[in-house]
Amino acid sequence: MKSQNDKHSILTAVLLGLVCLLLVLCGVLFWRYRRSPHAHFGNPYQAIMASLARKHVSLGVADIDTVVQPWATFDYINTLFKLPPAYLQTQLSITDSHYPRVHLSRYAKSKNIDANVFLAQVKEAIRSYLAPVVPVPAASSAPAASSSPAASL
Amino acid sequence: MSSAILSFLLSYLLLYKYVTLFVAVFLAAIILPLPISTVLVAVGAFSSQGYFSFWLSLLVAVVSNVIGDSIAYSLTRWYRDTVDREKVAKSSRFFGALDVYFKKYAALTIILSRFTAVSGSIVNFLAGFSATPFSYFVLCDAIGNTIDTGFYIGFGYVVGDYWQNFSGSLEMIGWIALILFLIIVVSKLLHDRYWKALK
Repeated sequence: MKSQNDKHSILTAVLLGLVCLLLVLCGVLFWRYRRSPHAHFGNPYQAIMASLARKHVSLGVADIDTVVQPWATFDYINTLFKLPPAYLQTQLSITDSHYPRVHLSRYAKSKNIDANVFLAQVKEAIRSYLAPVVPVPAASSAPAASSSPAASL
Repeated sequence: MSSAILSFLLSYLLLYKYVTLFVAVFLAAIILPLPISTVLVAVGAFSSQGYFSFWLSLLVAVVSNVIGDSIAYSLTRWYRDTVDREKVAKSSRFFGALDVYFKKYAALTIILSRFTAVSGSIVNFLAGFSATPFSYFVLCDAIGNTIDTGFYIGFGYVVGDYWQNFSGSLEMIGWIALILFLIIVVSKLLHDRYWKALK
């Protein structure tokens, strides 16, 4: 009987310990969430509606740093930013036969380029494609009508 | 190390899409400790960007998970048929108690353990060892996996481009799920002991 009570006490203690651990972890998770810059995702309805709305909008300059990652492929970047398939190939003089199905980090490694330097070049190329067309005064010379490659492609 | 594995998985996910998703989830379901919850959130985010299909991703992930779990189940089921399971259960009090518990709460244990990567694999092996009917195991496994996978892919779909900001918290969500699972198991054991004592 005593043994049964001992087992019962051990199980109760384990249960209480687990509950305490759960509370601590939930607290840490909540604290992390509050510190997150995207804490407005607390409202699931708003978040889902915002996500659905974003599906119909092309990514912009503000999204470049988020999307362009070492593991990303050229194809992924072209699709997300709606770039013409040959744009990055031309801008960065890419000769890899697997383009656009090649990772950025892998390509940089194969060409002995520092991955961070290559990522910066890719970001810059996308930025210049997405850059808004600068209105040119009518009095200026005609060839400077557009500064964005998007307008010419 | 974990981020290197994640980068490797993400890059191949973008190259071979559903094939990589199938293989990664399948290997994780058997026993490999891959950061699969983060991969599923990434797939959800890729779906929201239009690079993956949400429903196809969900289907592929659930099917590969169920196949992987079934193989893990079959391994111990096969082992059980080659050794005298009753003898093992009688000689070891731990296995005996586990056998009794598992027969009583098989559905609850299988479904809840899908939310925790570590215990999921252990429960697959125990389900095979305790000779849970295969069709019953697959049904519970599919229900649990659909909810779990749907949660992660859906979460990725909702947070979209910002999914990387949440990847650090996913590990913690996994630990919370594991502790919740253990709380339920211990509560069930306490509940059984309480009623036994009353009788």
